Amino acid sequence: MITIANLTKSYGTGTPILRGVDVTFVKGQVVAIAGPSGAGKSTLLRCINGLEAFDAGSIRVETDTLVPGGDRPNAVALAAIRRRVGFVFQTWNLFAHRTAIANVMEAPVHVRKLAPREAKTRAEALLERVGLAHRAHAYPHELSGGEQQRVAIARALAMDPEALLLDEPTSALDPSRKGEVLAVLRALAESGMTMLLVTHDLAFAREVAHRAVIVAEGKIAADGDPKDVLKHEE
Amino acid sequence: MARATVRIAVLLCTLASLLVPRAAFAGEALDRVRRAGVLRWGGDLQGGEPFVSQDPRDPSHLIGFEVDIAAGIARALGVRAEFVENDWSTLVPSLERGSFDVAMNGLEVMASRAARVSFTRPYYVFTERLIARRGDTRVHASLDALRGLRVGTLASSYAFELIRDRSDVVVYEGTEEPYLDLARARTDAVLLDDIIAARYGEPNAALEVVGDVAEGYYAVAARKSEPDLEAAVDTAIAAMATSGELEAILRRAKLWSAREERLASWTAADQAKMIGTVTTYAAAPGMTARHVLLFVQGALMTLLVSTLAMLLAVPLGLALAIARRWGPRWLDVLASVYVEIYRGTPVLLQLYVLYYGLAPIVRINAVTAAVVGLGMNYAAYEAEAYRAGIQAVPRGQMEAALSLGMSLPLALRRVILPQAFRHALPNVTNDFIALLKDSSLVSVITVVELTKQMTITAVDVRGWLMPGLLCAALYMAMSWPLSFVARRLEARMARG
Repeated sequence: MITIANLTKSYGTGTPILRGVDVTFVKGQVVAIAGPSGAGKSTLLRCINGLEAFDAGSIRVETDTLVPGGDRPNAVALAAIRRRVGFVFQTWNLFAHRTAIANVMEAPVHVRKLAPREAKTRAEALLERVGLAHRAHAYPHELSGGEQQRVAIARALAMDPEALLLDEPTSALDPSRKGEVLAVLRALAESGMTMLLVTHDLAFAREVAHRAVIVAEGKIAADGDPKDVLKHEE
Repeated sequence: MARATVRIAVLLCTLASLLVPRAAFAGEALDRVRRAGVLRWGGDLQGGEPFVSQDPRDPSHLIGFEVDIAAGIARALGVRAEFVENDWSTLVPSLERGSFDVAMNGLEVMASRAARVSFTRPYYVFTERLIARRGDTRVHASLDALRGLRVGTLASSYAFELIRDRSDVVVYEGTEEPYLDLARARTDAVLLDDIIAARYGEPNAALEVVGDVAEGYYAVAARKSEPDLEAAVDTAIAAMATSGELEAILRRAKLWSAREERLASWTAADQAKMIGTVTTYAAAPGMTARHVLLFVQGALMTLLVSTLAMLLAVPLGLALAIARRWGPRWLDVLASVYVEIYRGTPVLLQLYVLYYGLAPIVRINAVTAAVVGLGMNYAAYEAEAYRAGIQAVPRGQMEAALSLGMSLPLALRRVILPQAFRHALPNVTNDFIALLKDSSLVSVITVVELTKQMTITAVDVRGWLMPGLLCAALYMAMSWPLSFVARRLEARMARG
């Protein structure tokens, strides 16, 4: 579903962050992406939906291909890819001026042009699914971190993505709040959703992932069964 | 030790003597001037030729018939004359508070002034000259014929007093602008002193003199508390008039006519008559309900101009802020240049250029020019307020919007700008309050708003205190609810 070839990127001063990454992700798989901090895991994920530009290589999602050069040459492909692939941020990034349910409804109504009534019914169902139906009308600042992240997951799911990119979704949470988010992710993985999960939580990765990829020094250092690959990461 | 104490005591006494108001004791004024060796006289260079102006060959040197008369008076007093620049419309209050010893700058002897300062005998007899566009048959040489016409004149002038109840008066601060506007048909006629008319109106080929409709006198003004100085100056002028020196000065300035001959034989009866004419019909009126109504009208004009200007500044400022943050390079440069120019030059200058400078190209009336001028100026400040507001929105908000498939314009409209506006709101409100006050500047392009109304009324009622307090109260009445509403709005938005 997602094919990455020779992906190369440096930050401004020339410090290379990705040094030719080649990897393919298939539909229906939950893939854990692990590795030391600063190795390029998050950057890899952000390149896939165009939040970061890259210098060389290519990224193909189904029939749409991203090339180096940022937003301009990629406008059409980016729009298509972002419709297919949802993103969940480490710091959730809920729209601060909207309630939980409005956050979930925003893109369906204004991007997919769904009727507000239908979007609302679907948003209520999604909030129910992440266990937050009772918090639908709370503003982000009234929600705990874990609750905000569950709303953010519902918001991403509201666009019916074929795959979900999750950038360390639990690492900014209090340990006591991680469980509720992991439970949602576990259920999501069991439902057959394609997921690329950047994480430091190796126990959880072992539990839900079908496959694990280790990124180290800007390259794929290992790729395979989580039980084998993650053994060396402790 | 003892000597040091004495020294300090002497120093303190000296300081104390400096602190005593200089006009405190009658009879001392002339001594004070003689001791100082200078007679300080107030005037406004903006009045220009032939009154007082800078010598084009040597701008540090002043020329004009009043410079010559001042020199003659000073010589008679045994001192030298020193010019003090002061805005013409506030010469009387400045004289009262002691900015200079006497005022002399085409000050017409009139009730509102005679009530507050003493006038010497006149040094010039002027006429009020009516000028209209060539061939305009509606304008006739009589005050009553001006009824219902738009007539331009100077603020707080004798001509203004004559026509204020008859015509739709347009008040100016400079002597050239009334005639420029008349030629461009922004007004129907201009009534001003003959010297000004001859200098600035008559040379304009599009205009013609309709006739002289009244007569009046220029005299030197002194503080009422200083009759000795007033008498000495009066005597000096009398001597200049009888010796022929005054005639020579006026002839040099091409101001001599048969009308001026009476100056040489000016009597106490003439003086009493001159002051009497202007004071009989004008027992200090005090503030009336009519004044209050005019103030409210002025306040409504202030509110109208400020609100419309803000309605222009808000979207324009937003466009500028977006252009600078997300626009292509050339648009960013253009917007930055706009902001720098509008923030880097006085709004007064911008209003002047817009209304007078561009008049040959764009024909807009004064209120429109005021709204556009203030609006374009404040847009530059709004752009900065929004820019700060946009910067305060975390980057993740934009990333989240984009990752959900929103286009840049949609993300701006739905996610970034609503939040940026919340951050900018306190600044925008403060700007609006500042704009309410800055709108007083539009009086330079003849819009009579609250502050202008205050200065007009102050002349009427011979005092600044009551009009000033009323003016302040009205400004407060407009700005206080605004800051109250803004605080409420902020609190509500902060809740979510």
